[in-house]
Amino acid sequence: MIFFLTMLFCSITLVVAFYYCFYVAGKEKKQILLGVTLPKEALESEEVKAIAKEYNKKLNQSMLILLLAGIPVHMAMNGYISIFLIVYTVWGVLLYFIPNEIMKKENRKLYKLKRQNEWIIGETKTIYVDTRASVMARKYPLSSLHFLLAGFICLLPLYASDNVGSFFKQDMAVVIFVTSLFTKVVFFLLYKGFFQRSNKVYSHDTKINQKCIGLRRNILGNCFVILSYLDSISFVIMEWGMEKESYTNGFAERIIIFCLLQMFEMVFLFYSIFLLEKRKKEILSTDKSPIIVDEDEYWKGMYYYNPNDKRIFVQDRVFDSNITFNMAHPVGKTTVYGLAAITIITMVWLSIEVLRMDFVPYGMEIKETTVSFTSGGYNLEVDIEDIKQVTLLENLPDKKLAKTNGGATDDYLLGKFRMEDMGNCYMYVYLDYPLLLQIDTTETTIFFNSKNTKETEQLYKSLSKRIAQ
Amino acid sequence: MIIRLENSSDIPIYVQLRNQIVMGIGRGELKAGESLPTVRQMAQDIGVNTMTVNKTYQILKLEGYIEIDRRKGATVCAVKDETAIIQEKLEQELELLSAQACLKGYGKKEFLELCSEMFDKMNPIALQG
Repeated sequence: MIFFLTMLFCSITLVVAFYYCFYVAGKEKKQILLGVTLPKEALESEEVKAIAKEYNKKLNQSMLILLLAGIPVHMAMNGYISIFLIVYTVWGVLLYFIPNEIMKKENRKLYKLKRQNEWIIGETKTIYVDTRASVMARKYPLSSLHFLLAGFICLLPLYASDNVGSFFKQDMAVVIFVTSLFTKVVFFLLYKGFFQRSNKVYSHDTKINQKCIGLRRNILGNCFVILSYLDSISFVIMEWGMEKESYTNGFAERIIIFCLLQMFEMVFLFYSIFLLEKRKKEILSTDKSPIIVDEDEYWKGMYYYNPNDKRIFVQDRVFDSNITFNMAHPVGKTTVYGLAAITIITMVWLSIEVLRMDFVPYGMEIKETTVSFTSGGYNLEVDIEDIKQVTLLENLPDKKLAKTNGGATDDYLLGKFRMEDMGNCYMYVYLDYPLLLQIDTTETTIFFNSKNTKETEQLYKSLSKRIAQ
Repeated sequence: MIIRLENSSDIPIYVQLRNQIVMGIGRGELKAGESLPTVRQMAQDIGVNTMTVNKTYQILKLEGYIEIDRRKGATVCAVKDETAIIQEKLEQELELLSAQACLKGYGKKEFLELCSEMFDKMNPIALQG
């Protein structure tokens, strides 16, 4: 249920975010439509209006189809998790790829029309800098120490812990703890990065530029600090008491609170960006001397390509709050392609790993001195000498169970788990099949079964015989 | 002050930037004691290497238009009476401008009127500061 809700939240966020991004690109803003700068009279022309209308129609149609396609994609969650993750990834990629292709096509069409009609507006190849607004942009609205304080909040579970050593023995606790600190570093870098990036000059009137930059500084600056605190609180709630034996109690509830707080963070971030854009629009509507620079030749659809510009990333022309990489800069290009390669490699690797977890059958082999357990991803070998006893169970013990590292679906449990009153254990269990072995060793407990009940019984007999020898 | 630079111009960016700042001080758009963006911020805003902006700031510092403090950064200087030092430079530049005006058909009166018009635009607040 938690997994379903999390995925549903991700999907809704993805659809809304992508639709909003591409919808805004189809609306005229600062005389830019579909990434093309046009004079006012051109924006009123029938040809331009027809292109904008066609774009909006195609965008709405494609998003509706993708939204409907999302229903069977989410229904795939009831089957194999590996199949669902692969289908979901493809759906997510299409959600960006299809509207982007539509926008690129209409952008090219509009740019061609602009060149045919020689609709040149403002100046080309001109750079403006407002010294006063630029000086002001460097002043941070809040101290960077807030991020340090938010980092200290993440340490609270350690103070609350009876034994810090045992806290760090829990794989999951360590992963969550490190992630909580890592996110603070990310927020801090974003905060710093936003104030060190280039400043757009909107007007010949310095006061207008100062108001716009001040607005960005205050809204986004405060937003990052608040997000940082909220994020720390959400992680602390999830980690609280995690090292104790009883951590399985209430863990699911704590995850729900964590997810809700994370969702609130997303909503708060979107609201801040929306508020910033709205207020900026109000300020710019009063501007009597706007600066319009035609930079179309440097923008290939949504991408920026300017070999004369030494910046790695620049302000996005559709979303002022966003930044985009300069694809003509070697570092910019490498970063974009590098990130894309890392994402693709990670997705392919993850897909293979999850496919193996779903489809590679569990195996148990009794060798001369050891017993080996094999599966798609989690292999284990124990000495027969270390096995204290082996029991044949009809069902898993009716105790609370929490996954530490592995896979847990409606069909199987695989990997490292933690069981109430028992501690760490390994699971190689198909849930729909009766009979399973509980193998207690000096260090851990292993639960194993096969889809073939007779094979499970046979393994029980063989292992019991070997232990008795 | 709004600085305007042209990417397509034959004049290097660091010279354009220097000229714009000098003209800004002359017109009173930059006052004595007013801070200029840091080298890094200015480079980021223009989209050039920090070395380019650093070069401009060093030239402006040598010419006495700005001073650079480690903590405060670059600030505009109060205008000093350095007529003797500037005399030679002005003579050189005016000679070149006069030659260009003459060759393009300007008369003396016309040229002096243009000079006067440009000079009237100047209102260096730094002079009073």
